[in-house]
Amino acid sequence: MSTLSQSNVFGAHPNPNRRTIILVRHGETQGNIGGRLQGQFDASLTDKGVRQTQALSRRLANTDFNAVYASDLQRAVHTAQSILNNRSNIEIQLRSELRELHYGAYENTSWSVLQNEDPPFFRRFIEWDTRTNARFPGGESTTDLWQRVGNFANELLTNHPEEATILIVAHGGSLQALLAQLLALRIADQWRFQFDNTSVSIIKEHPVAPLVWQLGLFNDTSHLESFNSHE
Amino acid sequence: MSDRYSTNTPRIFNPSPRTIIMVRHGETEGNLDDKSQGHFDAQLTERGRIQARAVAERLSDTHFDAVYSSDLQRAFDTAKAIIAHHPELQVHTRSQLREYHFGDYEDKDWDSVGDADADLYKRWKNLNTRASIKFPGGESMLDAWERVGRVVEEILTTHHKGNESLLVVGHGGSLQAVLARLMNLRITDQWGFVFNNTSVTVLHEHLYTPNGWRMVQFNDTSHLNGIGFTDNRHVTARKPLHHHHRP
Repeated sequence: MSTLSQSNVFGAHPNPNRRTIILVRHGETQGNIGGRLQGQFDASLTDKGVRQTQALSRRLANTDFNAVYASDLQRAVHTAQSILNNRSNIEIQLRSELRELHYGAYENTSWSVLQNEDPPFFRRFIEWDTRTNARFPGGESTTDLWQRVGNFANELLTNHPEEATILIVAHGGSLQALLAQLLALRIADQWRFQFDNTSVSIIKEHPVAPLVWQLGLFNDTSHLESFNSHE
Repeated sequence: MSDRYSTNTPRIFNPSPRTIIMVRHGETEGNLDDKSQGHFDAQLTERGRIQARAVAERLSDTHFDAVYSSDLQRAFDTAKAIIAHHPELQVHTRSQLREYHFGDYEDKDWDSVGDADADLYKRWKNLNTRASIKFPGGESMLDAWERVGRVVEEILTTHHKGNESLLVVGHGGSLQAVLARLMNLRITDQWGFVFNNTSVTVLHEHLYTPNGWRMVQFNDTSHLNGIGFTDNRHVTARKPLHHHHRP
């Protein structure tokens, strides 16, 4: 293994408070298999989802976290608990801002129901160019989601101003919004990132510039490789 | 779907989504010594060749319809290692996939660049000002962005039948531009993505969006476990990560 120092890459003034955020999407639920809009419907993990979180826990067993945040929906909470696996020194901080998009009247229905009942809205939501302002009746738009996740990101960075490794366990939609905002991308860029169940993504603050973030790993599910071959 | 062109049905722009797989070259002496390299034609180190064989093994079962590579040795040798498992393929070399041309600062220690031109070095390090840089005797960031854009365009128009799987082997800087071009990001966004040596990055086309390229994997180096240098698996807050960040 190289012992290359990162600080000399960027000169004599490295950012001393460089933070690392690890993003994890929850394990599989029945709705993930069945093409459903889960949103804030409180689905539980499938048996396979539970085993995915156990594989993830083994993979992260040697990783120390200074803080752990999770969506308060049970599929995320269960995933976070499984990762920590009874570590005694750390508590999971639950945040409703990390929930999935609220699909309003279409919570816990299938995409085909939405397509049949409201084809124009379905089209606006499916096509990226028009998705941003498509607000579900009785629910949220992705702009609403973007703002509440942005509020969480501000709180997070304020709470942890110094060097820290922070684990965030959440949902496909809320993780897209979080990642895109940390990378200073535009709202419509967030759909360019596909988070799979129990995937690990790592984003680190720039070695010199505070608040400039760089992606180091995205959507890594190598902990599921041996597991999938036994399915 | 009953009528894909009715106004109420999502329009399928990409009925046969393509896949682009990007691989950065293996380790060179310049990577170890924190040098600029650029168009300087560095060779892979022994470990760089081992890394190249590891990524080649990992991609040995992956189907490719075409392989494009920078014509610089470190990229071309990495591409050749990969197609050793794919005898039906040849490597299309493209100079547009080269690293930035650093001009007077080719193959220099970055520290010495800072000594020679503190202002340039500072603008280079600060990702928010990097886009304004032109290296004396070399390229501007805008020049590089444009030339990489041309080769991305060439690849996409050459391979448009659908369902193609395309491999692009390049450099930290040129792959950032390929990625950002495909994902329709801005020039300043590209530096938010750090490619490690021989890392694998995968983009798929989205069904419903023209030019809708979607990242499904970024900077995966799991084939390097035991080889070292770029292992993202054991992240801790206290220990330095054993992976190499490009400036």
